[in-house]
Amino acid sequence: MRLTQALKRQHIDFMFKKHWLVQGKRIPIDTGVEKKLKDMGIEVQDALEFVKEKREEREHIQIIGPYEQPLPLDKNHPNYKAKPCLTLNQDNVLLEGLSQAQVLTKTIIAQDKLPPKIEELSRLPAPAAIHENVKKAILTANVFDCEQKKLPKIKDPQRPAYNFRRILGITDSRRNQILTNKLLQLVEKTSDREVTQNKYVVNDVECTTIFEKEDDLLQFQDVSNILVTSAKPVQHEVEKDIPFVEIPSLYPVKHTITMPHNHFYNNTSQYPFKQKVQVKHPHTTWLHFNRTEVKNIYGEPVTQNQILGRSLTHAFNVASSYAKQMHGEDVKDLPEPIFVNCIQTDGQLYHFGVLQLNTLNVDGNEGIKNVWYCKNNMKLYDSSRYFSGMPVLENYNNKVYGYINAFYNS
Amino acid sequence: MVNLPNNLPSTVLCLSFKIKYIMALNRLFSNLTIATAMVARRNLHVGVVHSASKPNIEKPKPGFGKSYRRIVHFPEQYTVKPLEVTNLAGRDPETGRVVAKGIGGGIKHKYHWIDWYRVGPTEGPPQEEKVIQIIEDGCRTAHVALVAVGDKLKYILATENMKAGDIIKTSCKLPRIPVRANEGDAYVLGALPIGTIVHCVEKEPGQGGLYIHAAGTSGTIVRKQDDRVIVQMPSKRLFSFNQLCMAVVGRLSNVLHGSTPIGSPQRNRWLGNRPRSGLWQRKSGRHGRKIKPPKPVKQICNPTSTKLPPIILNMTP
Repeated sequence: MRLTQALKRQHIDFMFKKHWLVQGKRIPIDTGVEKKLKDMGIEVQDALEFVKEKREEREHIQIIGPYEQPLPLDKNHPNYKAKPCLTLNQDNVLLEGLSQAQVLTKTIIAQDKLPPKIEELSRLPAPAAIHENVKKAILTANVFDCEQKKLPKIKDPQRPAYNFRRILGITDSRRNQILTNKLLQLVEKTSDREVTQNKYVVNDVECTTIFEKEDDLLQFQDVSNILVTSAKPVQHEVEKDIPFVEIPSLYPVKHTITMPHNHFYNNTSQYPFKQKVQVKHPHTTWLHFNRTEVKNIYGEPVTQNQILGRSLTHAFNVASSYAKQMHGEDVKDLPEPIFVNCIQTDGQLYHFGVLQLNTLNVDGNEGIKNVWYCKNNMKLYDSSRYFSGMPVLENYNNKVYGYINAFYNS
Repeated sequence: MVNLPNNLPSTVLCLSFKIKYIMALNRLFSNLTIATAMVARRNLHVGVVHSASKPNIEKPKPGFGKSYRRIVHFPEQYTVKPLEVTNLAGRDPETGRVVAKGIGGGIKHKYHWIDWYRVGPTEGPPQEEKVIQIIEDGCRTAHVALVAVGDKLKYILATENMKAGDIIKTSCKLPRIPVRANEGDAYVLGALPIGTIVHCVEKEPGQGGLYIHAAGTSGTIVRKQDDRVIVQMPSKRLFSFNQLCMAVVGRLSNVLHGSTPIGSPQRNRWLGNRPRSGLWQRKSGRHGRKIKPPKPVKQICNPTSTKLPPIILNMTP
């Protein structure tokens, strides 16, 4: 049935209903009087605004309450500094990854080449019992631990609306912590007495370096998950004739991108050990890559290049904070190069690197540069989980242990 | 008796007559029972005031860029971090009533805040920017490109052939000779030659890209007249813009979006569209394609004068 007849039917009460609504909203005609008065300089004020009661300003009474609240992070905070410092945390990643880290730390890279001493030591075959123990360590970290925490949600991009069952299990930070601690323990057990007696192994220490590069104040603030320190500084022989990867040009991107501004910082660098400790020279630093903690600002997953850049900045952080403690805050070119070994891992993949810190003067591209020897993407195992109710470890790679041992004993 | 002035409209005079008639009746029956007087008084009021159970609610209508699908919680400063969103399901946030039918449910997507202002130097070489990554955005049909320039990261709408690592240029300069522009570059309309494919066109210079955002769409520069440039929109309508308005060259990404069918009713639900029935009436003659003469070229500019706000006279104090 066409609704036109029922809809267009006229009834005087329709008009009465609408009339009050229509007449209740009158749009005034703009006569231009307000504009003319304003041009003449006479102030025009809305009558309803004039009639409103003005709020009187009352003095704000400072009441402390049950306990002292933390001071708000604004200009009145005691640590506030006008000049912002660009900070790189352990949760932050650089946008361009390794290339940006190269520019920031003025480093050239020797790709897939570690110092000859380490390469030699890594080729030493370890007995089968040790490899069995390594496999046990991997299973302990991945499968046999009793932590039950909510793991991140599983999402299938092909089925965006499907909610998978929430998995409870071992968090990646705990898994990495257990695995690296067990591996180090194994290495220590099989090493000589002179080596182990002169080394300290510390967990979760924070290093801070603050330096200037081309009028920007930069700060690296990293937590070293395991820091192995030794009584004597690390010495490596430098190989000649290595094809280095030069410092790239990041144009049009600046080298300080994705480093957030921070107005609350200390002006000095911090190294976790005191000056008078004998065994304070940094030997090896272990860095964990936990995918749940380390994220990009823009929400996309962290790329391989960004992970590698992270290990370079971390090694630079440890080395330069140590150098600043040894030689003073304003040291530029170091009398002797400082070597720091760095291993970054996310449990499965291992990225090994050795940083040769020659200078802390990171301005420009000329002059003495630091060197980063690296060997990346070594897979320790393919997968370790429960499969049909049985704990399973697939495709164990025995070369990785050789490098870890070499790094400890070098 | 209220003396109503003579120059009121006829509807009010009718009302005044009715009032007089009813008041006469009232006096006639005044010596009778109270009930009749009450009835008479109620008759007087019924055409004048709405009952409390059905107050007059003015609901807004969807349209002109406002679809009641989601609210984005924008922070004060521009950021590249995906923003939190509240779904509205077709409801007006103020009244809470359904304003747009057929919206609701679906997968909730975080909003990528796009920087609509392509600002470039007015003299000298154009500003160069690097595309970092192309991201699919759940809140729009076109893809979004993460772009880095200097210290800043921002999102822009991705064009058809844009990929990670591209360098795009921006310039606000109006040169004497038109520029040969590449896809993804942003120039003023006056700087581009006739026949250029553009998108993300500004309404007035400096207001941010407003027109042509959907996947696969593009406008064409048809001709130039004095200081205005005439662009053909995706709907084939001709709009005339100020020649200093910025526009981005190229066609928007996700070109196959318009030609892919949704596929299933469930997929429509994932997109946030509720089942709709009774939407289209065959016999009323209102729905369907119309054939009309082409409209004249529309001048696009900001309104010069705004109406004063209405004075609301209602019974509530």
